[in-house]
Amino acid sequence: MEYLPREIILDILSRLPVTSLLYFKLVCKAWNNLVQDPLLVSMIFSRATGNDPCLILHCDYPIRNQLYSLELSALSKDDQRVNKIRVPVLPEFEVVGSCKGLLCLCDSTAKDILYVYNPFTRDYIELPKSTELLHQNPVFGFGFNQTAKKYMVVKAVYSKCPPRPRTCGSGLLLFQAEVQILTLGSPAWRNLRKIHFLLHQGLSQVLVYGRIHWRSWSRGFHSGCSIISFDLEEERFREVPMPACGGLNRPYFHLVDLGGCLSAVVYGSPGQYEIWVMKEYDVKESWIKEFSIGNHVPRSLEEADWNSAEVFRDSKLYRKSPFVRVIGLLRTGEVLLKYKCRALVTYNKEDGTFKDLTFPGLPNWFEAVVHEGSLKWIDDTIANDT
Amino acid sequence: MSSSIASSSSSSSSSSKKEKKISLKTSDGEVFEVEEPVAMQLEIVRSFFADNEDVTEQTVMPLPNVSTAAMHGILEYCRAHEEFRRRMPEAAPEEEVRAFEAGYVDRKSNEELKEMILAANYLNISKLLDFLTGVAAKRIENKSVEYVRAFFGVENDFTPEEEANLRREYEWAFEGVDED
Repeated sequence: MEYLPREIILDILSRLPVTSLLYFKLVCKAWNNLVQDPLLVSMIFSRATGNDPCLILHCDYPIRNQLYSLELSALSKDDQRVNKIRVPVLPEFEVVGSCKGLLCLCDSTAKDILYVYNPFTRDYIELPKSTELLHQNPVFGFGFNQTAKKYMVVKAVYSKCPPRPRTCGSGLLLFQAEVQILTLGSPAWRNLRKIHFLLHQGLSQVLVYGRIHWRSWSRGFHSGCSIISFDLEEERFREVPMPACGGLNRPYFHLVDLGGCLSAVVYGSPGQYEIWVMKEYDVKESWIKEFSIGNHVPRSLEEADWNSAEVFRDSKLYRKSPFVRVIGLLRTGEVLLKYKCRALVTYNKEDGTFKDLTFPGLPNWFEAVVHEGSLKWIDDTIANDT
Repeated sequence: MSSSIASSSSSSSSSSKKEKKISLKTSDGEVFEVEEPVAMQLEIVRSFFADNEDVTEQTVMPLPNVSTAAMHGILEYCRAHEEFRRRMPEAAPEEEVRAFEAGYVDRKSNEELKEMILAANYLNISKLLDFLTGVAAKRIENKSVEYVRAFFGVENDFTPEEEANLRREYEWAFEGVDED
């Protein structure tokens, strides 16, 4: 019998989906801890960039707060990719964002109550509330400061709800938000400088180059949109160069991370859209039109029983969801698309074909968040000063 | 380390004049004469020859952690990759490589696979090690806890109560997915 050294066992385990690792806690006492070893956690994160994403599916119909995981990177066995996650008893929540193994959730009604939650360990904490700026309608960002090795939540609170632009001397409309930041593990929020643009809370945040990105209006609704980034190390907002396509002036675009590049999905005529990718970060000239995607109606949408879905149409997830949303890029170079909370589809640019994905156990209606699964304990995260 | 080098002129090495060969001695005493470009894929061999000026072509490098059986497997892989590189120096013929690799590991038992992993790790052949650990991951994914224990040679040291408790605690991750 050959015994493999610990670093090789970790290397092997780092290639497995998180749900397999959870199961392997049962192997023996040493493995019960091994699968949550911080070294394994960091190996999994460094490997994740080359793998197909794991999705967390969030459902609020028929039951609120239902989460599933979908491991697209599973090495084999198509029938075991969807797992239902038992969620701790939390009030109805929205998913603010996912970053390095953790989800940030916010209470749907009391928006100032935030949780950080690991869906695979079911470990969660409630974040401190800010003593000021309560009962407002904030825009959130959730990220990780690579240098300080700390998770951070940033929030922009607009003075009115919904935010209403005010007129200034030149006739232009200006927005104003108070900004606060919380480092996970510290007891209180800190104030940052006010900002004067209106950030739009997207369905999933885009975290590339250590920066969170939002679509934003800087001067009223008719002047066009821009892209604003927040650097988690410098704690500064900046404007990111826009691609040279007319479509971005209209508010109908969303941002997405495609293979680590900031990308913009620009909706054109009905059913048609383009994906622009910024190949070299912060370089305006490097924006290129990578995909031009035409009309497609997935079969499960055609077959959907819209009468029984009536209640779901009142759901917040459904109302916020565009007809088609770009989720991410697969290892094959195909784009992963989600149609109206219902269908997952891949698009192949080489031959222009669509493929409807079906997985046993896929919920009927869901919103999807790309998530790097890990078995990291939140306590480690907060205590980790190394 | 250099003290353990057996510099032997009496070895059976009768290297061909055309191609330089390197002699490697396995744990059970067999000497392999390996074409230089193949041997240089073994990082431990490459750095040994790069760092020691006093070694000659007659030097037999001992590899006390590698069995003859594992060495056969290692060389089969390295020779195939050298052949791919020679034919297509720009980019390896991916499909051919995949076909070779699939056939190469299918024949190996779990024990043989582990022995190869240990050898590749010791010889520091990162490409082969990366490939073999990937194969090991595929072999254990979705397998029972009992299979994984047997694969790694790990004893179950949980009491039945402890194991039952853990199963209950993590069952949620594997419970059948409900119909909506």
